[in-house]
This record gives sequence, C-alpha cells and structure tokens, in this order.
Amino acid sequence: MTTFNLEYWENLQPYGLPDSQKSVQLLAALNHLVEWHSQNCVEYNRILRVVDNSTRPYQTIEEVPFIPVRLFKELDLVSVNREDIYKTMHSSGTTGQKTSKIALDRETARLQTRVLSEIMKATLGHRRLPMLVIDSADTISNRNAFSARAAGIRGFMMFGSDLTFALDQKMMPDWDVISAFVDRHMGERALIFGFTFMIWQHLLSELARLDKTINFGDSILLHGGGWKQLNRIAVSNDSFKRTAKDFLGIDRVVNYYGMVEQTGSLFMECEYGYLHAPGFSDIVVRDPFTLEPVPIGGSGLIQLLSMTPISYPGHSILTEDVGTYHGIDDCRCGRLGRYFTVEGRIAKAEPRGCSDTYESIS
Amino acid sequence: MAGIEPSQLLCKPRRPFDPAVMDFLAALSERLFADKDARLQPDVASFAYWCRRSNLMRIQREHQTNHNCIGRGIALHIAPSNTPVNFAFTYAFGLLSGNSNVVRVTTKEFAQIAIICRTIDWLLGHDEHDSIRMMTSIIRYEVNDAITAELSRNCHVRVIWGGDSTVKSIKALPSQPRCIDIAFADRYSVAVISADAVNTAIEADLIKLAEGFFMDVFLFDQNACSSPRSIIWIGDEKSVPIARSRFWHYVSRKVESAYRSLPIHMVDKYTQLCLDSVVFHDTVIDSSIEGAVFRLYLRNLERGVDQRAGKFGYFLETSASDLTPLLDFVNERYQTVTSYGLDRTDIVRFVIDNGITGVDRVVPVGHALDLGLTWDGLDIISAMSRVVSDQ
Repeated sequence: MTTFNLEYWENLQPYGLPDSQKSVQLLAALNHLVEWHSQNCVEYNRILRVVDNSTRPYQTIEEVPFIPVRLFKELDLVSVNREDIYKTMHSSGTTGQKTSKIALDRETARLQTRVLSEIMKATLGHRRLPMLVIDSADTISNRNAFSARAAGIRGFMMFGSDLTFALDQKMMPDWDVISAFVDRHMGERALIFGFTFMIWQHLLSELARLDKTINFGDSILLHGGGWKQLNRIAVSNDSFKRTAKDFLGIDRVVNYYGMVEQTGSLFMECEYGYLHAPGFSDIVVRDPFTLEPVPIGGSGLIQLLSMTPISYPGHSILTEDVGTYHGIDDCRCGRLGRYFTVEGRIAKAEPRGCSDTYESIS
Repeated sequence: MAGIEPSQLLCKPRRPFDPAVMDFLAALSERLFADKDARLQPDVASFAYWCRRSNLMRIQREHQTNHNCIGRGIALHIAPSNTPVNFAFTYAFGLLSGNSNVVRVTTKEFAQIAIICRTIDWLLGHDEHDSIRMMTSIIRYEVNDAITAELSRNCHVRVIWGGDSTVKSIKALPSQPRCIDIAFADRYSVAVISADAVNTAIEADLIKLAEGFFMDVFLFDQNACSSPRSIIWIGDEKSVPIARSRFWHYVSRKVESAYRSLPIHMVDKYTQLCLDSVVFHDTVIDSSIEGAVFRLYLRNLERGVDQRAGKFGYFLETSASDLTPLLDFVNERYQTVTSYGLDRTDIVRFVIDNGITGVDRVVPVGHALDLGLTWDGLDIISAMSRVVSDQ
C-alpha cells in the first residue's frame, strides 16, 4: 500500500518543514494508516471501535487514536498476510518479562531504513564516517540477530565506514583495537556509536577506573536507549556529556530517543539538548491523569506518531515514558517541528488491597 | 510487635466470647478511640468501632454458639501485606473464638500497624489483661518458609489471607494432620444497582451513594476482594441510561476530589480497556474514560469476566431486567454483592434457590469492606473452634 504523497516523500527534509506544512502531510498519512490498519488488523479495529470517539478523517494530530505500547507484548498485532512478514522484531526485556513482537514486511522495513537514513544525513552529513561501535561483535551474531540492541546496531551500521567493535566478547574495551582505530582516523571526524548504558558502563567507567583518556577529536558520539538503567544509577544527560568530554575529548554528544515499536523514526537531540521530531513522525505529550494533550510547556506521557508502520498498527502509540513538550518550530538550533525532552520511565507502584503475594514481597 | 514469643504462648483454649477477651477488645477499642494518631486513620477507627463492647455483645447475642464449644488451641495467622488493619481483625477473630494467636504481619511499614500494636502492647502490660498476653504473639519477619514451617508445625488452625498465591505457598508447608486451614482465596465482587432507585433518589441520597461506592472501590485501589469490579444495572432501556448518567456523575465528582490514579495506573487501565475491547468485541455497547474512572459497557457479562478484574477504577457494566443473567456467569470466585435499591434478602434467596456456587455476601453499597466474623461464606467462630459433644 502507499500511504504517502510521493512528491513529499522524495523531497524529505527532516527538520526543514514548518509545522503548518508538515502536519498536513503527516495527518494525511496517519488518516490513511488508521484506515489501513482498521481494515487489515481485526484486533486494532475492535480497539478503535471502543477508544476512538473522533470522526474520520481526523483534523488534528491530537485526534489520531493511540494504543498503549504494552499491547504489542499482549497481542500479535499484524496488518499484512502472515507470509509477507519477513522478520519479527523483539524488544529487549529482562528474563521472565514478555517482550514486544513487531512484525515487519519488506515495505515497512524499507521505509524504516529510508527514514533513518534521512535523519542520519541531517545529523552527520552526507558522507559516511568511520564508525566505532561501543559493543561487541557478538551482539549482532546470528544468535542475537533479532534483539533490539542488535537491530539498533545493524540499523546504524550502514551509515558508517571502517566498522569497528570496541568491546571484546567479555564486554571489556579492547584497547588495541580502539587505539588502532584512533590512529587510522587521526584528524578525521568519526562516528562513535553505542547504547547509552553500554557506553557508560563498559567504556566511560572503565576509563575512569584506569584513569585513562582517549582523544577522538571532533568526532560525534551518538547514543540512545537504556536510560532506565542509567536513571537507576543516577546518571543525568548532563553528567554523561561531561564525562564523555573528559574521557573521550568529544564535544558533540548526541542522544537519540526511539523504540523498537517505531524503528527508524528517531528523535535526535540538538545542540541545546532538545529532541526533535522529524518530518515523518511527531509527538504528543498527554496529561498522565486525563490522557488529554498538554499545551507547550506541559509534561506527561509521550505519544509517538510515525508514518512508517504499515505491517503492524504502530503508527500511533502511547509510551510509558514521561517527557516535556517544549515548543514548535522555534528551537534556537533552527530545526523546525516539535521539540521535547524525555525525563524517564513512569514509576511502577504496587496496589493496595488484600490480594497480595506472600512470596514476592521485596 | 506485641505480646510474647510464639514458643511461649499458652495453649489453653477458651470458650468463644470469653469475658476476658471481651474486656480486652473493648478496652482496645476505647484506647484507640482516645488515641489522636489512631483517629487520623479511618481504617483504624473502623476497627475500633467494630470491636467496641456493644458491637461485640451484639455479635455474641446473634451467634448460635453451642455451649460446649471451645477454641482449637493455637492459631497462626498470615495477614496480608497491603491492607494494614486486617491483622488486627484476624487477631480479634482468633481471640473471640478462644484461641491463642501467632499473627505474622507484613514487614512493610504502616502507621496503622504501629499504632495498633503499640496500643495492644500497652494494654497487655496491665495485670487485668495478663491472660490475654499469654494468647498473643504478633510478629514480623521477612518472608521465610523455614520460620513459617516451624510455626505451622505448632498450630491447630492456620488463617491464611492474601489471595491465591499466598494460600498456595502456605498450604505447601506441612502442618499437623488435624490442623485446619482457613484460606482466603482471590475473589471477585460486583455491585447490583436498581436503576429506578437511582432515578427516584434525591440528590443527598445520590451523594451518599457515590460516597459509599467510592469507599467500596477506591480505599484499596479496587484491589480488595470485596470491591466491586463490575456493575449490573437492574432496569430497562429507558431507566438504565438515565440511572447510569446520574450515578456516574456523582461518583466522578467524588473521585475527582478524592482520588488520583498514578500515571502507570492510567496506562494500566487504558491497556486493559484495549485488551477487553478485543476480548468482548461482540458485546461492547460503549465506553468512557473520565479522569480516573474507566468503564466498558457490555450487552451482557460472560463467564470468565472474573479473570479480568479491573483495578484503580476500571469497571465493566451491563444491564438486565432482573437477576437471571447472573446465572450465566457467576461462579465460586464471586464473593460480595453490594446492592442499592434492591431487597437483599431477595438476592440471597436467588443465590440459594438457584444453587449458585458463588456469592457469600450481600451488603449495601458502602459496606463492601466491612470485615466481619462471617466472611467468605464461613462462620469464623465455628471454623476456628470445636464442639465437645455429649451425644
């Protein structure tokens, strides 16, 4: 199926469209996607019959109905024929937890790649940069091929050259490999990529322990995912940046926000610390007590909208992350569209009540 | 926490409603009423109200106790961890039925537990309550099967609160062959409301109804086994919509002023609404999200709705012209029916005449959480005592 105005799609400018133009295109695509998924995913259709009170076509982004991201753990939500699914992505979940199942057909996967590529070009420039991955080559071995981390690394790999893995099988820095990479690309800008927690735990903490520094010059450190674990050990985005500067000599540290339910539709952090919605996706922040959209300046649950999900109804999802909606079209960095920050995961809480478990009291 | 070590308990059962026990509980009630910390806790106050002398006398009067009845010996109580005052009730049940008691309370800190234990201990320090001291051991330990197993070996009754999983893990620990387990499993409860009664009620009554319903549901996050999770409207297609809108108007107003769902619970409820939309797709009529209150209105309730219990203010609703549809889905998991505008004796008769395996309790809206000596279909005094027969 084609959900998009192709002309618009060919002239993608992730951060170049003012909201007045972007929202028209995005809304058209989302209206189309809601119809598509209602007709092709029976569970989705049943859900919309209950939770969707607006009339179609929707007039604003905020009217587009959303489903909670946890639903992908509870149900197999698929909008294409089973035989057209060529891979199923899984979220990272700790042992015993259910993981999300995201069914991808070739078209959805292609759109994801296309979107990611536009976002990466806008962030890194058009030239491929030498790429050092702060992870082990084992992570993307066949055994782990469909884990979220492996998928993330694979997704970014295509934007780098001289792909090098900085950690060994035991997740310890391979100093020889790292210094050889630095030597090879002296005076050149490189892309240092990894998951936030991996970089912190397995590189920055190791450097601090050994009182060692590396100088990556004007390279870019791109990281995302796994703030949950960092929040637990209380590392803020600022202290992450400071530590990266101190031990890696890197000024340009870019955090990204995204999830396996909308692979490719990333939100990149700008020089001023704000995450930006690119042309093909958007965010709505919802009041956590009413689920109504909050105005600029408000905080709440983050809803993510994306044009890419065709094979599964993930085009409008309510996350369990809390964030603040800072503005639209007017960030000092010059990027257009909505911008926001993510504060973290909503807190779990035990209910009161007489039905509780003797064996699981912690 | 209060009393003596479990190993020092005197195993010398008494008759139910022993005068020394009645004196002690009445003194506990008075003392709690006089305590300004206790007065701040509504659940402590309701326990104090329950064990006041006149109420205990009434219970004794109404109870058909055999004169040759005596406690069983030592009772081990496993109190739930999330309803703090429950431990005091179960302890009082043990005393009233004539037993010495080991009560394991949760290790979670609750002001209510501290206040009641402090008061019990203070009373037990007085000579006139010394005999009760020998029957009292309120203890706290991290979940530990070795300790619970040791206590299980030395008791005659185990009173197990906390639902299916707790019951399962305690029952797995061996006890004496004659030991009796009184186990409180997970249950499901409903409200049955007459649409006509709501439609003819004056505003003051509706406010009172909403407040009672609020107490039933929200005091324990709709997670008490007796809190209603579904609402069955008795009426016709004309009266029910009007009644629903009147009722929910007042309930929402109360909820808005007195309860807040945490963000995680809003997501929980929204997720459940989506999942239930899939499961009940062919009977959905409409739904509503209003602040913390989530509702899904169905043409009828099906077998298995009790497995999809809502929490934090999530309700399934349906309507019927009379109670007959209950026969289609009520099973042994159903515990409490809170009713409004209907004759409770009719509902009880309906349950018995139709041979329904569930429904142990029919109480007015506002009384779902009133714990009493008849609970889960059991006469607790009889269950925790024995009869010395001369026939």
